[in-house]
Amino acid sequence: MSREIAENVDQELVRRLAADDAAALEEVYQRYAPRCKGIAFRLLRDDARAEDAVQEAFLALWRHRQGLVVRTGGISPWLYTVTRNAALAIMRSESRRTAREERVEAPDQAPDPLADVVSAEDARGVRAALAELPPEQRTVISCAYFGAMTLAQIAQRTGAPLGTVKRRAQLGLSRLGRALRPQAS
Amino acid sequence: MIQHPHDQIEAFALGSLDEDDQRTVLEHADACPTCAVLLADAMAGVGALATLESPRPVDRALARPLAAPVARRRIGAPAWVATAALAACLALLFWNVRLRDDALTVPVGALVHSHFVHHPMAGGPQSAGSAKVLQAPDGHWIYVVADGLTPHGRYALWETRSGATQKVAELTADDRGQAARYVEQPQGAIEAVVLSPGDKPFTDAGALRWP
Repeated sequence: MSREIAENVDQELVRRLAADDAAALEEVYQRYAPRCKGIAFRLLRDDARAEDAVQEAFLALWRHRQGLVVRTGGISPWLYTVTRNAALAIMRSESRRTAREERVEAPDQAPDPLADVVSAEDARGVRAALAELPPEQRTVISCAYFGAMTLAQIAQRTGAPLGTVKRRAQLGLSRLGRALRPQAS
Repeated sequence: MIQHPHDQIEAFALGSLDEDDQRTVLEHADACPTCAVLLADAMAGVGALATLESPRPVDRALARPLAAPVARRRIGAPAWVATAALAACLALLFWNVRLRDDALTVPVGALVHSHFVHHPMAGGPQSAGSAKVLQAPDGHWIYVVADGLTPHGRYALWETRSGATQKVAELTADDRGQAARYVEQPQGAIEAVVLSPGDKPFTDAGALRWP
């Protein structure tokens, strides 16, 4: 299924969710729960807790079904983001964040933060987009997404003002988001 | 004057906000199309990064109860593995769940707007199966869902509140070893929940317990 078709399907699913169609939630679950779980698992390294995070995300999807806005990439960015946030919350609640942060090295010394991320054929464009980001934006995105650091921690680590870090995050996310847009044919 | 959380959009997308601030952003976006679009655009970047992640298998059977026609829905208990709470919660939240034995109707309207917490129940050395307990934060309801029990086995559900333990329900596993029970009660802190095949919840080696 092309990305454009997938986004149209998602638009329809969101419309059905907004109409309180519970069967639509099952379809969303079938389509996106596996990758949601993968996102949570990379952070938590535990199947049960990863599934808890996925559960939180799908319950949040239902709670917020009336206000969903589908843009680039369909409904999946919303689910992936909320799942990841739920997984991070679990990490923090278990006080394991400190240990993890100790393992995150300074950006200029760190090994490739993508090293433990399995490549996928459909991810080629995203990898290219990530590689093409200006270094300061790539550092913010990599540390935040793959290193699970907060923007404040990145500001402290890099010595850049927090507002600058936020701006770099905004620009970096915007460029990466464009990597998801359907290609003109 | 409405406060738009513009400066928190990227922090939300990248997971830098605490849970309260996350909730504030999502609730604001529910009612503010402008911020919802900004949030969706920021999330698109995270969605792109997520394509680099490996999917992991989920129990698709958990979604199966969601597919059955709502009008004819009768749920004994969703198949429970580690993510059983998803199916259980969704079933609870979206439909009137009619439990197999007692045709109990769960007050869906109350649950849809409830926050809840959930806990895995751990087994003793001779326990079979697994279970999870969902509860209202104020303790005014609990929902226990279990799988892997002895088929047709009879179980008692015990609860400890204010230091006192009492049996709050009895249930019978179905032919697949699954069981579920919703219990409504006065508000109050719940200290322990036990699903036991016997009458000694704290010494029964076959019981499933939280905590």
